[in-house]
This record gives sequence, C-alpha cells and structure tokens, in this order.
Amino acid sequence: MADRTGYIARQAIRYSVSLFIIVTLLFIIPRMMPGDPFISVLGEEVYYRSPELVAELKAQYGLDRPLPEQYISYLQNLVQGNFGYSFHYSQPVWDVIAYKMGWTFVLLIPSVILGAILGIVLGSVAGWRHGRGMDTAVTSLFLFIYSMPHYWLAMIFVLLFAFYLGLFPLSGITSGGLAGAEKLKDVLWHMALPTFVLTLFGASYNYFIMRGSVLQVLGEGFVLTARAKGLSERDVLFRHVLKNSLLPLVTVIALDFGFMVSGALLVEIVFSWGGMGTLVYDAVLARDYPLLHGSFLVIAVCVLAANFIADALYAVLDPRIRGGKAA
Amino acid sequence: MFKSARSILDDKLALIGLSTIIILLVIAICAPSVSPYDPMKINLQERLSPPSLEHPMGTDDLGRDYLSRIIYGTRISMTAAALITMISLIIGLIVGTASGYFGGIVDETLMRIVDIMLAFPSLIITIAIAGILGPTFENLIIAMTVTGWVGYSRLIRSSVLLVKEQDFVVSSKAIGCSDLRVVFDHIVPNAIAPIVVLATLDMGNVILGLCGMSFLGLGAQPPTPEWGSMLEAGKPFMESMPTLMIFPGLMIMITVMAFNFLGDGLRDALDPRIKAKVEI
Repeated sequence: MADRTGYIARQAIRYSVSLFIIVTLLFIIPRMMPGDPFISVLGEEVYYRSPELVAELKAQYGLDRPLPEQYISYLQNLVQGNFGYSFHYSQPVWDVIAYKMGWTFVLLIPSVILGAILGIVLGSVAGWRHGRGMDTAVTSLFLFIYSMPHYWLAMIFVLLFAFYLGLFPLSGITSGGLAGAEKLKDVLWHMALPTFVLTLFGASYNYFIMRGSVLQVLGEGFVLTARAKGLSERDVLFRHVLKNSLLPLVTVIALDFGFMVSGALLVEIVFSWGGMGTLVYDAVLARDYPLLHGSFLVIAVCVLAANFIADALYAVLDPRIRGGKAA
Repeated sequence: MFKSARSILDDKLALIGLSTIIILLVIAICAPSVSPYDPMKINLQERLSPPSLEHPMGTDDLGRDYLSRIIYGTRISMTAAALITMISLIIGLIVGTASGYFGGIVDETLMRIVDIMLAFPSLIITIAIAGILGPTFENLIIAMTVTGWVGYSRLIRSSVLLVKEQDFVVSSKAIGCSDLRVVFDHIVPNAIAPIVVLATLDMGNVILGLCGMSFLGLGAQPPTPEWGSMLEAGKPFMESMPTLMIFPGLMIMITVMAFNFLGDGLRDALDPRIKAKVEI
C-alpha cells in the first residue's frame, strides 16, 4: 500500500515538472517566432504608419518590459487563472476555450468510450476465435479504416448519409432557435455522424491492440494449465485470458486521448463543429497568440492528466509495477 | 537475411504491400511519361467532366486532367514522406544513441524533452509550427520533422540500452575503440531491425499527416497536385462531382495501407519476439 502511494506520488512530481517546463516553453517559443502579432491585429497599414500606437499597445500588454519580468507576471497570471485576452474573439481567452472545450468533449467522450468498448469486445472475440470467418471480416474492415484519413471517411459519410440519404444534417452543432429537450435532440442528431466516424477510428486502434494482446496471452503457459485443469472455455476466456489482456489497454485508452484530440480536430473541421479543433485552426490563421497559448496549455494539461491517470490506474491494477520501475 | 526474405514472401499481405509500394514508386519516378496530360494545364471548356475514356478520372473545376494530377500527387507525397522519415530517423538516431550510450545527465535531459514532446498530440504541434512559419509545403516538412524524430529516439535509446552491456560492446571498449566506432560499428547495426520496421510503418502515418495538413490549407498550396489539397479543392464539388474527392482519398488509403502491410510483415520477419501480428 505504501509502495503504491509512493509510486503515485513520484509520478505526480514527474508530471508537475513536465507541466512546468511546458508552461515555460509556451512562454519562450512565441517570443522567438518570426512575425509580429500586432501586424495582423492592426493591419499592415496602421502598424507601419503609427509606431506610437504599437508602442502603446505593447506597453498595455506588458510586452515592452524585460523578459524575466514578463515571465514572472506571466506565471502570476496563470496561477490566478488569468489566461489573457483574445485579439480575435475580443473575449477573455479562458471564456472562449471553456466554451469550445465543452463542445469538443461532447464529441470526444462518447467517441472514446464507445470506441474502447467496440474495440475491446470485437478485439477479444477476434483474438479468441482467430483465423475464423468473423476475425477475417472484422480485421479486414478495421485495416481499411485504420489506413483511411479520418476526414475523408467523414466526407464520405456526409456524402452518403447527409447528402444522398438525407438522414443527418450536413454540418454544424444545432439548427438554432430550439430550447430544452428539442435542442438536446437536435444536438444529438447533429453529433451522430462525427461521433460515429471518431468511434470507428478509436475502435480500429483499440481493436488491433486488444486482438494482439489476447493472441499473446493465449500462448502463455497458464492458459494451457487452466485448460488442463478442465476449466470451461468460458472460464478460461473471462477469468484468465481477458483479465490479463486488458492491462495494456488501460494505458492505450489514456494515450488514445491525444490521438483522438488530433482526429477530432480534422473531423470537426469537416463537420464545421465549433470545438477546439476549429478554435486552434482559427487561432493559427489569425495569429491570436493569447488564444493559441491558452489552447495549447489546456490540451497539454488534459493529455498529461490522462497519462497520469493511466499510470496511477496501472499501479493499482498491476502489482508488478509498484516496486520501483518508473516507466 | 535470407530467412527473413523468405518469410516476407510467405506473408501474403506484406507481399501485396511491397508490390503496391513498388508500383507507386515506379509511377512516382516516371510521372511525366505515365501521365496522359499536363497536370497543370487548364482547359475551361472541359471543366468538371465525368470519368470517360479520354479522361479516366474526369477533370477538375479548372478542366485539368484528374488522373495526371493523381499521378503527380504520388510523386509529391512519396518524396515528401521519404524526406521527413529520413531526417526524423537521423535526428532520432543521434538523440537516441547519445541518450542511451552516455546515460546520466545527457539521458535525463534528452528524455525529459521527449516526454514533453509526447505530451502534445503531434498534429497540434505541427499545426502550430506550420501556422506560425507560414503555410508552405517546405514549412510543413520542417514542422513534421520537428515532431517526427521523437518516436525514433525512444526506440533507438532502448535498443542501445539492450546491447550496451553485452560482451561484444564491452570488449570493443576494452580494446580501446572510440565511442563513435563503438556506436556505429556495434550498437547501431544491432538496433537496425526495429528501426526499419518503425520507419516503414511511419511512412504511412507521415503521408496521412501530410495530406491532412494540406487538406487544412497548411501544406501544399492549390495549383500543386497534392492529394490532400486536391481533396480540399474537391470539397465544394462533393455533391455535383464526388469523384474529385473520392480518388485522392482512395490513393491516400492505398498508399498508407501498403506501408502498414509491409511494416507488419517486416516486423514479423525481422523481429520474431513480437507476435502482435495482423494476420488474415
């Protein structure tokens, strides 16, 4: 027990250090990049014609002070939850991100969960019955999906289900002008296609890992022993094979999070879903540094948190890890 | 080596992958002689014509022959992906061997950097770098290399750690070989198999990433016949001429799949310890 707590505490310190370094890098990198953000904020004409205005604005944002001083006030602001002000949206960065993040989670969380369930179930059946008809069919299907660009499958679905069949809307989050249960129904209807695309990708990823993991465990001595003891096939599968095969998947699902964030980004753009994907994309095009900075920080915190949870869960589930082997 | 060549030949999927890649390479190299038309030649009289004998894949919104554009796209994607993979591999090799071989503070520093890189979804870093440097194909290649080396460095580091303490390395150090000689003559050759596997599998991912970024408008720009930007250009005509969006996507899928098949086959042939094989 003490081992376990110690291990988790060590991991927490490691992740905090990583977070601190990320925060620092996010301070340094934009200040090294070429191009002055004020050019795109003010327009080239104003920027070059009135240097006094630029100087005044820089003073207002504190960009004229020496770097160490900027760094300290930057850290102070972060601790107070002040992420700055978005040029592009004319709103505090945190407000914009909190709103968009919500919509991304609406898409991501069901997709990660459904993708994990689908991948695990199909993967374990395929591994258990490998070489049979069902394994061949599902494996081929997932091989196709795994090699496809997400956004291309999204476009094909839009073409088939929204354009030709007219079953789902072409894009967007809501049709607008609705409230209450009607609105919820409308949002669910709009998110059906993007969620389906993301679920398929999450599932294809988990499927191959689960299938490989089951195949590997099937070759272990204890499975042979279990069978030799005369356990029913069902008991062998559920009590011996699956219990051991699921372990690698705990980390994979957490790491999946990053993979799914990237996938969601392109899929969001195809469906004009106003989440983090479209936000980051717009922020890059508008060179909205405070917004970009905030988005990267929030994404990094989410990914680090997911990894930390995976590490902690792993320590709880696998007694072999606790000793001292920090990955 | 002979044995691995045989097991590749036995592996049907790997063979399919390998032959597809060879065909794609031939198409890429002979693009000017294989393509029936000039991929850039605009012919407004024939815009948006459906597939026909004259234009097997039809024409795009500016009347350019789509088959020729797809063929030139092969050349662009393959060259860019090979370039990115190669540079990433070299950087990964340097970082990974330095980290594994010297250990200590060098290792700690380099691996913390790797951890930080891994904390971000690589697509997000790529978008940030490509977006800030400016949306050109060259900048995209730079951005993808910046994120690409991380996986290699981890893999190479662990391979180095595996062989570092073995007798042949210890003895070559004992007879006074220089660090560079030990690394290049003894450590790298022993780590090469998993690197080749990773690089092959990575080619597919790099092509996916390249086309995705061009689709976002952060890579190859419109007149260039690149698959991702062709998809983007075909998007507004999705309803009237769906072939404009289907063909580039199909090419991306075929290419990525070919590299995945070959990579899996190579892994089985070169590294019998890993049995995470996708077999049908």
